[in-house]
Amino acid sequence: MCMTRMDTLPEGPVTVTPMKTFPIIRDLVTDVSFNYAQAEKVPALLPPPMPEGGYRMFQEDVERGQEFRKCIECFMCQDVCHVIRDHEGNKQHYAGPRFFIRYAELEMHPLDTNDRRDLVREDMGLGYCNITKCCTEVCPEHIKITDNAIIPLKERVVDAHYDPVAWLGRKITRRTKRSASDAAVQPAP
Amino acid sequence: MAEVTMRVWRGDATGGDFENYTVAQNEGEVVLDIIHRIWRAAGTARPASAVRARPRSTVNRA
Repeated sequence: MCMTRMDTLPEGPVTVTPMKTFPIIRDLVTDVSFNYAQAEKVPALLPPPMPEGGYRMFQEDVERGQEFRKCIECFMCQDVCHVIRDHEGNKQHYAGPRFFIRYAELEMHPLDTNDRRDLVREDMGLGYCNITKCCTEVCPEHIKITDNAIIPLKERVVDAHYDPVAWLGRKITRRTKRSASDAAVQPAP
Repeated sequence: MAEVTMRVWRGDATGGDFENYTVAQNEGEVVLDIIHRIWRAAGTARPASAVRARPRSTVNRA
């Protein structure tokens, strides 16, 4: 609404409605507290203890998550996601695209040691998303929600639960997640 | 100055319907500008229509 120029709309009456996914408070205002409840469930970034010389990260690892920081939380993606738009009951076990980009950002963070893959699979309903890309189409910040967040997140979950080679690799190396100390913190030359 | 007809949903949790408003449209305006103009005009006759411009953040930046 704040980005659509009137002169780009076709001739005729312009229809403005409140978001359908969330309960109406009054007129065009809806109760989006579902999103704040979901936000509270996101496990925070958990970096390892500060090594001598400070944290070190590769620039490309840093840049990967920056796209998701552009989110202005308009919740348009939540509104058009038909998993919760058309099925009120799914709100109990589905976080929605806005929070999948948050989970993806944290999972991709080179200094994060939290493992959220079980959480997004079992409690946040990542599997309900069937990649229709509605969320990507409406994002005013042009974040590639599906391609850059949800699909990589799904791949991580599948790797953790269904890939026998990855399972064997974890058994051999006894690692559940590539830790920050392995991945990013290199000794100074 | 051009005019535009807006069909804006008005009501609350118990129900509502679309109301038509014909307002002036200035060059370069976005939909929110028009809604704010309706808001101001309607505020004299009935409780102002509600529209939220910016939600609070869900990201814990602590």
